[in-house]
Amino acid sequence: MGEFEAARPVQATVESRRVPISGSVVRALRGRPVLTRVLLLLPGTLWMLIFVGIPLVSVVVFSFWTSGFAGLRPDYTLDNYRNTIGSASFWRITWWTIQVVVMLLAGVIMLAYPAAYGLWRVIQRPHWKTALLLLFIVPFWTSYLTRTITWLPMFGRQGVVNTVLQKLRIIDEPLEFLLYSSVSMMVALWFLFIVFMVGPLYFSMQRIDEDIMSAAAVFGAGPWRTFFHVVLPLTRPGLMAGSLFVVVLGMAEFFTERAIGGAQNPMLAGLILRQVDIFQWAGASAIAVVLITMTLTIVTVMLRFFDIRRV
Amino acid sequence: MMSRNFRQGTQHLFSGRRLDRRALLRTGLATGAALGVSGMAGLTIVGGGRALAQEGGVLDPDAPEWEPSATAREQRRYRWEPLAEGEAAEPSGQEIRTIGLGVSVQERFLSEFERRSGHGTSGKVATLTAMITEWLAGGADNYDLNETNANRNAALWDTDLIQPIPVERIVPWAYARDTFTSEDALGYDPVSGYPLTEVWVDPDNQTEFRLVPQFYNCDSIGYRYDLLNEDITSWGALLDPQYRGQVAILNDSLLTPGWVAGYMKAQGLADIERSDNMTHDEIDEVIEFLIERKRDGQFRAIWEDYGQAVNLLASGEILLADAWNPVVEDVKKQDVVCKYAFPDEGFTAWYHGLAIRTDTPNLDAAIDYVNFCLEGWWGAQVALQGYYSPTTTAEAYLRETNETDPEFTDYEWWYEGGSSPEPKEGWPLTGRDTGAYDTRWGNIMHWMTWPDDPDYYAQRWNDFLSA
Repeated sequence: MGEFEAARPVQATVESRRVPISGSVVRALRGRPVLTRVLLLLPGTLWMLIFVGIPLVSVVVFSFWTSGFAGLRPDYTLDNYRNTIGSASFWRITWWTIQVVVMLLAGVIMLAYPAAYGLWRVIQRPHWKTALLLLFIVPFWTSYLTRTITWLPMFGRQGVVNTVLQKLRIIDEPLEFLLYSSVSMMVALWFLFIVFMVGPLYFSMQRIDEDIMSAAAVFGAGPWRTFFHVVLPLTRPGLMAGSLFVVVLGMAEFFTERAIGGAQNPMLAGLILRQVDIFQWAGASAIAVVLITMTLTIVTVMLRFFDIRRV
Repeated sequence: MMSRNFRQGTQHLFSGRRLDRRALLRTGLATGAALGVSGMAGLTIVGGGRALAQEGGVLDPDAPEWEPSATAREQRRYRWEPLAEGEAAEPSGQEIRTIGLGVSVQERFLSEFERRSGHGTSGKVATLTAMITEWLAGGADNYDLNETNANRNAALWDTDLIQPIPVERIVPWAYARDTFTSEDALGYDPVSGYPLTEVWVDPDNQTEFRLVPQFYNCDSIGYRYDLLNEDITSWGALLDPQYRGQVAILNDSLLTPGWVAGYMKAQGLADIERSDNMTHDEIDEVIEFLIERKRDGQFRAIWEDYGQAVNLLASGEILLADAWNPVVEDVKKQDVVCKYAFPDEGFTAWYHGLAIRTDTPNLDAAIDYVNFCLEGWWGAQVALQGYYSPTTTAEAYLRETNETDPEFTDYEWWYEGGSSPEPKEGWPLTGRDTGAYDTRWGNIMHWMTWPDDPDYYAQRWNDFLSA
């Protein structure tokens, strides 16, 4: 009784706060679900329209213009696309970009699953879980550029890895391929992108009912069987969400290739920059449109296999 | 108009008679180092500008014309009032807004300009591409000046974003080096007409600037002398299988094919007419040669920005690179014995210039800024970064300092190539490693120009990168 008595004034306070703040708006919108929906969607829609929609449309329009030393000119032409698609190096670079993204995704998945699984099953104490999860996340509080160039002192001729290997007398000469090579670029990319996969996977695993895991054990499934037949299917939402992040960001990647890969095998986004450097905004726009189209196609295909709303 | 202290300090300087140095010292105004850094001030009143320290705003007709002094640390006596350190001109109400590379747009330069002129300043540092793009994309209204590389300037000129600048308003130009005024000058390219064609509206009468030269230099190969133990004397070293896997080259579709073409032309490896502006066939030949070298593993890295070039050389990741100035100077600051080569085929020359926006509301202040950059103090500051000033006004300052090396004045080091008979202990140099001004400018391969078909350069460069 006492508790009930005590609760009433609190409820009254909440009520009295609600009415003055939103009263008039709520009254005006009551019974008008469509208007309510429109008003709620308006700020976000406007934001996207101004800062995403208009620039995107501009890029598409510019891709049909001409450009040069004196800026962009609205002389509509298909030449930018003809030159882009007709260039052998464009297709070599596109093929290489796709290869990199596939290797990136495969590597990240192979690295992220054990990491997320370890966080979920092996580490028992909650504060250790938090601490380890933070280890993945904290580097992302620094800038992308900083995270990338920190590999330079790690992989260089006189870097940490080569120095340690030489001190241990495992090698006599520094390993050249550790820096400015496709190998070093992929290693850097895997570690740059792993958090995009570990997070969604870990949160997917946490949702798995403990009884299902127990049932698997009771019915005699070993760790591998449990992983492939229970964990993997149930973590598909996390896997797909992580894959979307990796693919979309990986397709737009250019800096790691430049800084760690030695800039000898450019990716598509890097090609756009090269065009901008020589005032070829129209050509850069055409490549951007092709890149966006490719990315959207890949994402669409991925979404056909999985409903993102399940994540 | 002027602050009380400033007026008191300068009143008697212009009382109708010329004061000599001793008299100035007696006034307590000329205090050693203060005057050393403040020598030039009065460039702010040229042709419609403002007389900073003239009584009543009227120029003293008897005051001598400004000229560079051999005694830079002394009070100057030209008719535009000098400012001692600690003094500052009254705020003018005008301002300049400029954009350029970090080399020239620096807080300390802008502060000094504010102090001397009274004009407010704001400066933005950007890459060459970014600054031109910003202007062409409608952002020019935010600026009064653009400090840009000459080979990109046509983009601003052709779109009427910048205005011609009358030569008579740029006072220190009376002391211009002939590099920017004469076809007989060292380094002049009779084929492209560079640099005169880019500096002047009409190179024949030279009455109006398209782009006022601000600082300039010529580049070559930077190399780790301590690790190579030999002198590099050709651009070909960057392509020599002997140094396979130890070379970095610049990721630039114009500049890199340019020096490769210069090398191939000089060595008779290709029939190339102009290495700064090639035909399609010539570009093809150069790119094919580069692709061959790339497939052979010649290049360890392709560098993108200035800092990366410094790090690559300083860390020993690579031993040779086509190094912009002053990459090697910055490597040396890390106590690494690095040198610039004196290539048989010649250096690649370039200059940066100042352009004033067509519709600027701060024209007088912008003109003052141009004057300030051509005066000795500014020229001396950039000389210490390894650049040349297009006027001789920096000499007086540089002859009074030896920040680079205690053995030399900075002028001896940067302009005359040093003069010590013996190398410094532990250092294989007796001065600027590629020698004196005349020696360097007597050996130019080409200027960095804008070619007729940059698109084709870019297209073929992409072929090289993706090969």
